[in-house]
Amino acid sequence: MTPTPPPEDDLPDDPDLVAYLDGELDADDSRSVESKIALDAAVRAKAAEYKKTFDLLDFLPKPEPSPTFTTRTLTRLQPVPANASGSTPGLSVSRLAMPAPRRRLWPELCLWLLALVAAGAGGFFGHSFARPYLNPSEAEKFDRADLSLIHDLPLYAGVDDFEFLKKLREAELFDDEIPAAPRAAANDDDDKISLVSQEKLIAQFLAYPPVRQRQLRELHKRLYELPANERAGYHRTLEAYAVWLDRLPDADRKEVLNAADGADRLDAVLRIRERIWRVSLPPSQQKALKTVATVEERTQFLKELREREQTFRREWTFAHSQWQPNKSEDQKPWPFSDPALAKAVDDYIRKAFGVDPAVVVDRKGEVAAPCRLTKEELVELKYRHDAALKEGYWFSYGACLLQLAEQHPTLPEPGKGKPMTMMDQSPLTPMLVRKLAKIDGGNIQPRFRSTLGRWPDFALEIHKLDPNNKEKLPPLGPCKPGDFTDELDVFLKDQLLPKLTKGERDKLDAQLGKWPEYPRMMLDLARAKNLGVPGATLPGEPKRWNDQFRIPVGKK
Amino acid sequence: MTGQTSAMMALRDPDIRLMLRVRADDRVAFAEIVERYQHRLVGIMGHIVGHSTEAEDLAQEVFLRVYRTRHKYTPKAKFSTWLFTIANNLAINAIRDKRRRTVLPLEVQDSNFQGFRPGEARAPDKSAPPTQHLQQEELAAVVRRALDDLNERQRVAVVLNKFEDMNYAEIADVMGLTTKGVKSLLSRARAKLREALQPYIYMDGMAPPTDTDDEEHGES
Repeated sequence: MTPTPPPEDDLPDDPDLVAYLDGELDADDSRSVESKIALDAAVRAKAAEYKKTFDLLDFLPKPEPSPTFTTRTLTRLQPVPANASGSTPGLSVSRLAMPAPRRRLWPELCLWLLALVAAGAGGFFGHSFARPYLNPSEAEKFDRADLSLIHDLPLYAGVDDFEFLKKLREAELFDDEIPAAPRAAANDDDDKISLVSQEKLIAQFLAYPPVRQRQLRELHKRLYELPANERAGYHRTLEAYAVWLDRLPDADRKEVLNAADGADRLDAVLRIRERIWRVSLPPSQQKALKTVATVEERTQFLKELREREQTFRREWTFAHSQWQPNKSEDQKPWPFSDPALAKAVDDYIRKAFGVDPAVVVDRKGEVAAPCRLTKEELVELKYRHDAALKEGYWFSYGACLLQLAEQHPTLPEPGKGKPMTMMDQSPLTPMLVRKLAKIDGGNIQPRFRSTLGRWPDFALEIHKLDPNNKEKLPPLGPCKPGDFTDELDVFLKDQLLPKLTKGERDKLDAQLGKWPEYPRMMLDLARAKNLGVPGATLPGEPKRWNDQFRIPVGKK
Repeated sequence: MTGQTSAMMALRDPDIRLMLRVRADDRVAFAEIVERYQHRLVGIMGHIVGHSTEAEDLAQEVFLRVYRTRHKYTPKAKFSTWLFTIANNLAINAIRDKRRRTVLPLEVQDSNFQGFRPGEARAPDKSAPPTQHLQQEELAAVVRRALDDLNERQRVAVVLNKFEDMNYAEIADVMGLTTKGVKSLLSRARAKLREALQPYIYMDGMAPPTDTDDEEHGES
């Protein structure tokens, strides 16, 4: 029995009056309260006050989740390192979320679908497919050797032919429904079906009209002519489509299965998916959609919503697919699995972003130089860094670093002396800076406040004042061999220069003595040769960072 | 309603269908649930605990509990009822924990207990007569304080009633009470709110209907 709460304070209360205002009384009780309100001014005033005080709650600000809420929640489901598991109760969520062996949903679900056909349930499904092929006397004998078709038969229930399947796949409708795990080989235990099921499927196949049998054979044949990887992709689409069909309400499923041909069927699929998607939008977005005035704006609004959703799903699917193949024995992916590279990553963060990765972030305070990140970026970096160290979320950390490195590219620091980050370290006189920046008088520092103390931002800001160097300014940073740190000079001499063609070397030499042109070209050439530049780019091969941590951009 | 009909109805609810996918370890479906419900949950938690960061943490914990207990999920009622039941338990525990932890800060040197922590909105003293030009933020702070003065169950019931538009039966399901119990709980909560906010209820410019109204209007 559910409890009734005990009285919790001494205030006189009016359960019926409040319930009446909330529309919770039945007709008789409502009438009784209404007559009291009509006859008694004090009750009337009280009712008004109850209503008014309740309305005052509308003044409370409504908190909204931060933009990274979903990502942060989902990253907490990632697997934990094996060496941290077992006796760590706090990590039970992650442990539960360890990628489970792929579950074969489709054989059970689609057997049910086929049962519908066999029983002629509702008549729609069997009828729709049988309609064009009404000549059972020509039924072809089933070749029992071809059990592979029988095993896949449940997947083909709702697929006209290979062209239909191709269009279904190209439409990317079901890409997000089933994680892109490699499909097990056809003779895996997982794929085995019971003899009883097999007999049922064979009987089902033989019950099809010959034209449909030929169509299924052709579909299966074309599918198995594809290279294994490509076929696995098609199988994922087929599985997701079958599961989706199975979960549709009857009316919607009929709409798909009763379609006259493949084109109509695809239209129905698109229509239903769009409708379900719109209905399932969060209330805030539904509300926002209602305020959109024109059809064009509505279309644009929906397009943006869909793109956002697709981006998120792509990121999640990619993160999922990257997790297993890239981790080493200690569960860390490259480059974090290599101690020297891991240390170089920390050094890079210090140099390029101007922040210690282990620093305690003051969420309320301002971001101080030399940090080049915004507060949000800094908090995000710190969050990812800690989650990687404590709970093994290395993929998220790597993806975050790659993104930040692209948003805040840096340039090599000089080997001697400090990099130019303040006005008094500048080889330019304040008078010249005033002239270039067209500042008449007063303090010139505020003009450069956002970049002060930050390398190479401040120097680049000064450089922007006279990009063509009409004033013959001295270089604002290192711009020839010998200017850089010893490590970078060695890299230039031993690694980059020997790999350059004559043309590339000439191009680089043409920039000698020019800043930031020379170091920029050096970085571009190093990237083209898949070389990391010590202290100026993420340690290790750029391509490997890209392959491993760049979240792919999907088709628009 | 037969069990079969209710199960069929449940399968037509897109949220339940999603949750059934989550139960089958489909994380994409879980992501969809997070996307769909995060605004409502963070909003509700924010109103209950009065702090946006804490609200996010609690909402996140709700989702993680959903995931953790996914294998035990059975589609008996509306999905949102199940979700808000988890939210209710977490929110009530959070308020109780906070209340237990609340001690006077050691660094407070003076006896001015009306002092505010940095970042906290300054609510006007209840004993001081409110001005007609109370700023919206200040009014929000007054309302916040009134809500904070409710006990945890009253607060949750009011927030679900007001911001989730839940009727008494739904609140009863979420909070594990009888409908009668919810009626009593909400009645007391509303009485407390009325007492706390009475001085501010005509801040929207509408004068209260008093006997002196006619005289004042006559004089102007």
